[in-house]
Amino acid sequence: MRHAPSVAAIVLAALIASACSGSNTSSSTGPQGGGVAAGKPHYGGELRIGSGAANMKTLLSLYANTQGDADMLGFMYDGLTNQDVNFKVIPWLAQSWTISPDGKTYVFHLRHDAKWSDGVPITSADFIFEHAVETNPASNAPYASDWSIVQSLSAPDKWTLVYHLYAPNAPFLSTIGSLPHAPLPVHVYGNVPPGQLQHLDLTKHLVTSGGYLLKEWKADDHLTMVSNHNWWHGRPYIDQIYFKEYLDDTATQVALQNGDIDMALQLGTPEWLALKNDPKFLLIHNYADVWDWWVPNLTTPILGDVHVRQAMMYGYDRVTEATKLFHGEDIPVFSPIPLAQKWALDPATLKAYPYDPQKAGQILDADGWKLGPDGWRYKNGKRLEVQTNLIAGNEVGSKDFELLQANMKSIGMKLDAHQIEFNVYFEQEAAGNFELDGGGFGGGGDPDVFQFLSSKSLPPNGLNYARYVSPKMDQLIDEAREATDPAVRAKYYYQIQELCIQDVPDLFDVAPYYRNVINKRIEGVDPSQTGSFFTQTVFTEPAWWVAQ
Amino acid sequence: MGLVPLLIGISLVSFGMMFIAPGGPTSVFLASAHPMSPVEVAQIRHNLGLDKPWYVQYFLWLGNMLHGNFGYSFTDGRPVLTKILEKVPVTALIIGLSFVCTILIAIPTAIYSAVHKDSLFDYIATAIAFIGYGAPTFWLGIELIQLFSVKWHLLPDSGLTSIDATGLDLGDRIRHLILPVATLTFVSLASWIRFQRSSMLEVLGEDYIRTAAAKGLSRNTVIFKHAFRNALLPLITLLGLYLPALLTGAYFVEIVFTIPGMGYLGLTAIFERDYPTVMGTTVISAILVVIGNLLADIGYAAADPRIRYD
Repeated sequence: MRHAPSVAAIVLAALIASACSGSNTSSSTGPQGGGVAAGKPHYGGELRIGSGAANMKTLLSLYANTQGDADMLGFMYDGLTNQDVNFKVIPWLAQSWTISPDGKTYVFHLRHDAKWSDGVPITSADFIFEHAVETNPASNAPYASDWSIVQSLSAPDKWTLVYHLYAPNAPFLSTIGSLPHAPLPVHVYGNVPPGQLQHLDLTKHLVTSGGYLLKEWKADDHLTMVSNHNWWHGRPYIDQIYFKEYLDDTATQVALQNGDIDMALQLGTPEWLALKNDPKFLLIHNYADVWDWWVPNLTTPILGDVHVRQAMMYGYDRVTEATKLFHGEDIPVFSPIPLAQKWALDPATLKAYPYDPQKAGQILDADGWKLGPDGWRYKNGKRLEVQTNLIAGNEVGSKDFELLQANMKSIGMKLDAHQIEFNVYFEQEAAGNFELDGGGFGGGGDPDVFQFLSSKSLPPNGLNYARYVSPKMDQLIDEAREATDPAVRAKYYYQIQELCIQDVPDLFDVAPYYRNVINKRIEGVDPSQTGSFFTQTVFTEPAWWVAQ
Repeated sequence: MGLVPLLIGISLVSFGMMFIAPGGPTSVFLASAHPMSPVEVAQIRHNLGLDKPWYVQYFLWLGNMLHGNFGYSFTDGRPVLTKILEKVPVTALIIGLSFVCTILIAIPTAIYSAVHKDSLFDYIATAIAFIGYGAPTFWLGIELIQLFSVKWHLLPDSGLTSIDATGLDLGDRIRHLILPVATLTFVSLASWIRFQRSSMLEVLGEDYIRTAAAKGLSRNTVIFKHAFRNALLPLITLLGLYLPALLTGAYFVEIVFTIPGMGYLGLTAIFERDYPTVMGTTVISAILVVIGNLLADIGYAAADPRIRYD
C-alpha cells in the first residue's frame, strides 16, 4: 500500500531536516502518552496531513519525484511488492514470486482480486504497458534507468510476469515495487502518446489502484482522497485524507499547534522541539533512513589526500555537534548504511573516528603539513585551506559548518564558506566545481551504495560526487548487489563499511532521527510499527481510525 | 498597439535574466526526493529543448506565446496557462480587497488630516502612515500571524479556507482574508494618505476655494465638491504607479500566508527554474499592470473633462 521507494535518497529532506534533534527516546521503547488506542475501530473521519516544505507536482505515479508525490501518491497507487517497517519485501499486487537459482529470473504471480478504481482487474498487461511507457524516452519518466538491469519482461498470461535480469540484483525486489514503477491502467492510457502523458489533466477522472481515491486536487494548495471501499487489502477505517501544502516547516508547526492538521510528513529540529511536549500528540521517533555528510572532491589536491581526510575526521567533534547543535537528537555515524538498516549496519562504525585533535595533528605532521607561526599548516609553501560550498539560506547547515570550521582551525586547517543558491549548488556539485560540499543521502529501502560509491556512478553517470574510485569497493558493491541471501549481503556491507573507514571517501557526519507527531484523536497508532520515513509511518494506516 | 512591443521587451529581458542566472531546471531533478540519474536528466533536458541555444528557445517560446500557448511547466508538465488562470482570481481578490480598503481608509483620513492640519489626529495619522511605509510586507505579515494566530488564536494563519470548509463558506473565507488584506492595506496606506493629504492641502490653498467659501457655500460643499474632486486627479495618476507595487506586495502576502496565488506560483517557479511558468507569470503580470494603467488613464479622463485622448 505505502511505497517505500527502493532508492528514495531523501537528499532534500536530509538537508532541510539535517538539524533534527529532540529526545533520545526511541519509539521502540514504547509510545509516549499514547500508542495503541483503547477505543474501538470504526469507519469514518478524516486524517489531515501537512506537507512542510514538500509539495506535490503530479497525480501520475510514473512522474512521482518530489517528497510530496512519493508520500501522497503512495496512498493511491499499489506496486508489485511493498516493504514493511523493517524493510522486508512483502507481497503486494504480486501475491508470490520465485527467483531462479542464478538470481537472474523473477516470476511474479499477481493476485486476482486487485482492481483499478473503475472496476477493471489489474493484470500483467498493465505492468507491461507501464514498462513500455517508462522506457520510452519521449515520456520524460524520471526513473527509467532503474530498468537498465532488466534484460526482458514478458507476460505468459494475465496473472504472471517474468523479468530476466542481466545479472543478479538484490535491490531489484524493492525497486520493482517502488512508486514510479507502479502499474498504469492500459485501458485508460493505452492510446495516449507517451510524450503527452505528463500533460494530461487527471483531476477529474483519475484511475488508481490503492487504498484511497482522488477526490480533489488544487495544485499548490491541497489534495483530498477518499477511502477505496473495494480495495483488495480491505477498506481503510479512515474515510478521508486531506493533505495540505505549506511553504515551510514553520507554517506546518503552527498548523499542528492549532489543530488544523494531525501530522506532518516529518519534522525539523525547531518544530520537533516546539511540539514534543505538547500533550495532544503521540510521538514518532525512529532511526531515519538518511545521514548527513560532507562531500570532499577527491580530485582536488588537498582533499584527494586520504591522510588529510582522516585527520579531518579525528579533528571533527561530532559528539558536540550532535549534543549541542542538534540537541542530542542526531547520532555521530561513520557508515554509508543508514541506522535504520540494522541488518547491514556494522555497529563498530559508530565508534569510528572518535574526536582526537591530537591524533589529527600527528597525522598531518607525518603527512608533511607543518604548523606555521600563524596557526595554519603548510606543506611545500601551500596552506592547508579548503573552500566549502553551502546552500544559501540553510541556517542549520551554516551553524554546522561553523562548528566544523572551528574544529579544523584547532588542527591548523582553514575552511572558508561559499554560500550559493540551491540550484547552483547541485549543478556545481555534479560538474565537480567544488572542494567540499555539505549534504546528506539516504537509502529508502535498500542499503545498496552503488549510486554514490561505485566508480560506475561517477558523474555524469551517477551520484558519486566525491569522485571516489576503488576497484576493491566496486567489487564489494557488485558482490553485495548480486547476493540475494541477506546474511551474505550483510557480510559484504560490513566489508564496505570497513573500507569506508580506511579510505574516507566521504566525511560521514551524523544521522538524524525520523521525527513526527500524530494528534491523539487518530487512534490505533502503534509507534513501534512506524518506520524511518513517512510512507513507513503510515504503512499501518488502514488500521488507524479517528476517535469519536 | 504599444502593448505587443512592450510585452516582447519584458519577455526578452526576463528570459535573458533567467539564462544569465546560474543553475537551471535540471538541477532541481538532481536534488529531488529521489535523485534522478544524470543520464535521465540529460534525456529530459533534450526533450524539453534545453539543449538548444537560448535565442532559439526564446523565439520558439515567443512564437507559441503570441498564439496563446504558454507551453508546459517543466516541473509537472501541466499547461502554464492553466496553472496561471487557476491563480489569477486569488491574486485579484487580494489586490481588489486591499485596494478598496486602502481607498476607504486613506481618502477620508487624508481629507480630515488636511482640513485639520497640525491637529492631534493629523500627527497620529502621519505617524501610522510612516510606520506602514517603513514596515516590510513580509515582516508585518509574520508579526500579525504571531499575534492573531499563534498567540491569541483569533484568526487563521494561512490559506484561503479552513480544511473543514465545504462549498463557499463566506464567513470562513472572510476570516482567512483579514490578515493578508490587512497586511497589504497597511503598507499601502502611507503613500496614499500622504499624497492625498498634500494634494488636498495644495487645493485648499487655491484662490477658487477661498472664493467658494467667500460666496457662502457650506464647508462640506467646499471640501467635497470643489477641493476633493480637484485633489483627486493626482491620486488617479498615483494609481498607475501603485499597481505594480500592489501586485508585488500581493505576491509577498501570498508567500507569507501560503495563499496559492500568482505570487506563490511565480516564486516556486523561480526556485525550480521552471522557465515556462516564470515567463508566463511575468507576461500575465505585465498585462495586468498595463490594464491597470489603462484604467487609470480612463479614470483620469472621466475625472477631468479637460483631458481627452486621441
